[in-house]
Amino acid sequence: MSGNPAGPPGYRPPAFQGPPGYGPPGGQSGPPAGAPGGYGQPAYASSNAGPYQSAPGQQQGFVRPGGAIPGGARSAGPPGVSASMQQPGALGMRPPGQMPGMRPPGPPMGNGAPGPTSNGVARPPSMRPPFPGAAPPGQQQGGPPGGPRPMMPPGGPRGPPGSGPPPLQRAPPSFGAGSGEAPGTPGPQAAYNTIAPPGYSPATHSSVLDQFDSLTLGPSGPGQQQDPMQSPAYYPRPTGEEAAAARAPLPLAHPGNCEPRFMRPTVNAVPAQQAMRARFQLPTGLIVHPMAEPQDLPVIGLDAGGIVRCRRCRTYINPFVTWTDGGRRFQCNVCGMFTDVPMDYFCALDQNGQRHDIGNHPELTQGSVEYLAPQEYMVRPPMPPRFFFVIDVSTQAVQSGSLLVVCQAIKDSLDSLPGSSRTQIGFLTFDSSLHFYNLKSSLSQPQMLVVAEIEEPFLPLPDDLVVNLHESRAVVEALLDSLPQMFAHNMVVESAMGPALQAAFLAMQDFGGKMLLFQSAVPSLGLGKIKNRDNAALWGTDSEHKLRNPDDQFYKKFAAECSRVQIAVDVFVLGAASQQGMPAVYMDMASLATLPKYTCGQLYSLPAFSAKRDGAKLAHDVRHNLSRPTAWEAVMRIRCSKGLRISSFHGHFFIRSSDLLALPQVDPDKAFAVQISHDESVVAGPVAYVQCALLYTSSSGERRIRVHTMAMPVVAEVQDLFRAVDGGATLALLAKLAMEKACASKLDETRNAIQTKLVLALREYRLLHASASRGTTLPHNKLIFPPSLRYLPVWILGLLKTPALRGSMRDVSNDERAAFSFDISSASVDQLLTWVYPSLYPVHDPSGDWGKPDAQGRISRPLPVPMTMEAVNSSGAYLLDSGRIFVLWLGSNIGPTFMSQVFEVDASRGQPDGFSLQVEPPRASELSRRICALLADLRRGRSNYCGCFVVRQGTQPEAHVLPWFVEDRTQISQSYQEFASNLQKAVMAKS
Amino acid sequence: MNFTFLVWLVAFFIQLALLGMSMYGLIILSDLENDFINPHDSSASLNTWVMPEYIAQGVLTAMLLLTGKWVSGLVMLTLLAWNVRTYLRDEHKVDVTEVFRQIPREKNIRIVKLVFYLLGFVYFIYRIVHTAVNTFLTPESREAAHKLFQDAAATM
Repeated sequence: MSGNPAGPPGYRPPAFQGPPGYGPPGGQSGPPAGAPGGYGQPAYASSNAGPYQSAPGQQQGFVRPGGAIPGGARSAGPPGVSASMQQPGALGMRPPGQMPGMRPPGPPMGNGAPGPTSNGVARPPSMRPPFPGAAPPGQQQGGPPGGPRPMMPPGGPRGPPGSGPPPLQRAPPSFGAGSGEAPGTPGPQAAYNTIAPPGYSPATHSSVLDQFDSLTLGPSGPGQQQDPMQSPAYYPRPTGEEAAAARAPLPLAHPGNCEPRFMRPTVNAVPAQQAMRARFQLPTGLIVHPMAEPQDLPVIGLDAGGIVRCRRCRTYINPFVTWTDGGRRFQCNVCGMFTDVPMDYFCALDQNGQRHDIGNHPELTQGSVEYLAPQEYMVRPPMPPRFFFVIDVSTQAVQSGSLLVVCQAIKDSLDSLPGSSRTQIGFLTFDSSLHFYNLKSSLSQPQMLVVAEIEEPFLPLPDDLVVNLHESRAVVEALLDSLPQMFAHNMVVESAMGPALQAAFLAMQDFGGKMLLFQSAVPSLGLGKIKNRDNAALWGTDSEHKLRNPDDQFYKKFAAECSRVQIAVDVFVLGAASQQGMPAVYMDMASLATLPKYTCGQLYSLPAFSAKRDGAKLAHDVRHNLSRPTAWEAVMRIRCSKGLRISSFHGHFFIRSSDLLALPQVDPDKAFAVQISHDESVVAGPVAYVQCALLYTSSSGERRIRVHTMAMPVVAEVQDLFRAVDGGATLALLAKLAMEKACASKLDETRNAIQTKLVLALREYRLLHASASRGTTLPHNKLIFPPSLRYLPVWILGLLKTPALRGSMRDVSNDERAAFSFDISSASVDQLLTWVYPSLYPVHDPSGDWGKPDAQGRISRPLPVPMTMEAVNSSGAYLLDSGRIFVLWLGSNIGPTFMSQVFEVDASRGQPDGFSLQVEPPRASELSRRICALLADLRRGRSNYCGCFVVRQGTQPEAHVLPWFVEDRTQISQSYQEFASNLQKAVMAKS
Repeated sequence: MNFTFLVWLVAFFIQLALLGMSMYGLIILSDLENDFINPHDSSASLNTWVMPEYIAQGVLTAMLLLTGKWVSGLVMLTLLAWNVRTYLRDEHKVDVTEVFRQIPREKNIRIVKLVFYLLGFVYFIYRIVHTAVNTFLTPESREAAHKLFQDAAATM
């Protein structure tokens, strides 16, 4: 690869000339473009000096492309350079700093004069760190004052193609299999160290087009030797030094954008024409995570002049609006309409066209803000947080021990329930009949009321079934203490789940709230009873998808009704084992999952529940569910610029109108995906906007609106889309689309559809290069892909190997499949990437700093190794983080020292099996403490509880671990090498 | 009153009702698209009219076939067969959770049905008039009417 000597992954889209309004009306000349300003100032600082908007240089850069530009040796572009190439990125697509494993910035390239050039050289060291959130906002945005800006006016310095070839090791097209690397470089990490991460520089036409990665697969011609560097060890994979950078989102297109943790676009650009989107082949959209942690948004009170919105499209005011008429009107950036500023909100403009009081208005500088909403945003008084527990007390629940664990966990959580004194709580237990509990605060003991009528359940009491927790605390605790004993000898095996749900609905329908269903027995009575339809004969037929859809119409109807009255349903499926040591009974998870699916709830699946093994996980999940920040009775709407529209939503919600999602409750564990498509065939640029607004009731009883705004450049070339693509977010969107497709077609077709998308995209990319390289043919044994998509193939391979998509009925039970695909649909990008490509940390090597806290108390992690058995050492120990559980994998030749240090067992007296070994609590040795510190660090910030199991190489439980080694071949899946070469064959095949 | 005339008249009114139902469905769907109605209400009102529509179509087809109106009867039978197929595949009701994804399909079905009903409607009017002319007019007045029409055509 050439043309990117600096190497930082500074993707910068061309033609991003700033939204209208970046320059003052009239656009007076400012200081030179490369002069300090703009990014030099902390954009989020509350100083009155306008942040980026007031940077004169920037304005000039945008408004007057031909202005005085020092260092702007405006060499004539080569003939044939397309217009979009003439306009290298502006508006600072921020390079995410120096990534690990990357070469330091090299000399400036091209023949332009020194100075900030568009190539991304001379970048200030203050780039946005690769991990948003790693630094406080102020630091993220602002460089040191006066730092040179890596931005450039359109038509800036540019080297003619071919002049001054940059001293790059990554020369096209022979990267990949170790170009510029001495053969025999040890290990894949070393091989990748010289590779610049995703990035491009629009310096020259040829360099732009030549920036691709390639992977040499097979000999270049018949009879030729296979290059030793073609070993799979050199394939791109998100491990080693690259691990963190691979998962990191693209840098922000603009400091006024919301952070990627809230909205992460799959392509940080919008195609100007509809036809381009079709050519690009990959889905384009956003992963929206409106409640992502941490909850640290600026809150705008009721006294701040009100909530200002566009009068036509109702877009909330944001950093991208343009002020006119001396500040009396603003132009909406989404629809272009002019709106009068309310009297209370008015403020005069300064000479840069920015309001004087911009520092006091976070909504004018930040992409994410939260408003306190006045009366107009309420249709009823804000509801109190309300929890209603529907607990199965049939004999299965008692015998598996789940009832005891659940009651204890609820009792432990009573203090951490959100809403302090407003919280309401209610209980219902059921087996073949329904048991209600009168929890009136004046009672000393809860009063149990049994309703045996399950055809048409009714409430035995008009009220007091749902009570204020604060007032009835003693009664509630008495109930939770007595429940396990009360049913300790319950011999009823039937379970009337449907009627219990209906009864709970009746008790909650006035205000809504959260219903938590704990289901142990197979629902066998009343509506919604489950038939055993786990029928292997359906596999491979056209009816296969019915297994992944609810069987009974009751589930969908009930879920829709719940959504209507603001009830969210969380379902804990704690199915018993059919016999001791046997697999779990069929619970028809596909039907049960429907309840949380349309109510923004969550599905927890602990098949073959046993309190001894799964108790800790269940207790943790219950406690986390009850204590996490929760937004109630929410609706979410996503608006986008004229010419674009949101074509589909994916996740767990009920669609209330074509662009409004009803979310009875939403919390940080829920992410959504949307696809954006063209409403009109052409989108007017240069910038397109997306705004997500979440209106909700907070647990403290305030009505709030959370607004995230994002600007994306409109680009005119397909190459620009490939350059701006975010591999991680694309994988997430593909995965969510696949889950949806699997509900309507065969699993085989679903898998093929994902691969086809990848093949078509890579073929398109190859064609782009074939046509651009004019004559120089691309070697047929090289797989060519954009640097930004270098990990996508292995991630897709991992996705195909997840329980949601792999194999057929024999390999993964339908229940497990349904549970996993439910989780994928609401997973955030980071979660998903760990699920599809787990991390494998070597923990046998005590060298290095891993597991020890550094000066800031952060725990560093060992570099993960590739997920293949070939990369692991049989005398080592590895901690496998699958995102759902941890496994400490012990090689068969693990030394006795390790065993005695970590487990305090004497290895000389035979090898203990994995079940009897516990990693935690930490033992006296330092190694044990470091492993436990690493575990604790990995668990931090994770919503699901991940237990740690020990598995020894060569023992029977290892079979459960092998599917996570996604690069290895199994009976039902390909190895990475096979996958890559099949991919290459498919790309090369004539369409 | 002539029996054939009565059959056509009843068929005409059933067809009119069916026409109304499909138009109502289309209005509900476009209301839903334009956010004038929520999915719960719209699915409820769409689903209320599914069975009446199918029954009306069944009655109409049965009546036409039993009275030997083979051409129109068989044409109506095709639509009835489609309805039965939809019913057997359990696709006849709108799913409230999927209603937005179903809008284009439901709309197309209703537009096709609307055209179908409209053609039937015109055909039944023609048959009513035809039967009326054939049964209620004497040969002399028919002759007079024929002449009247010819004159009218000539003056045009």
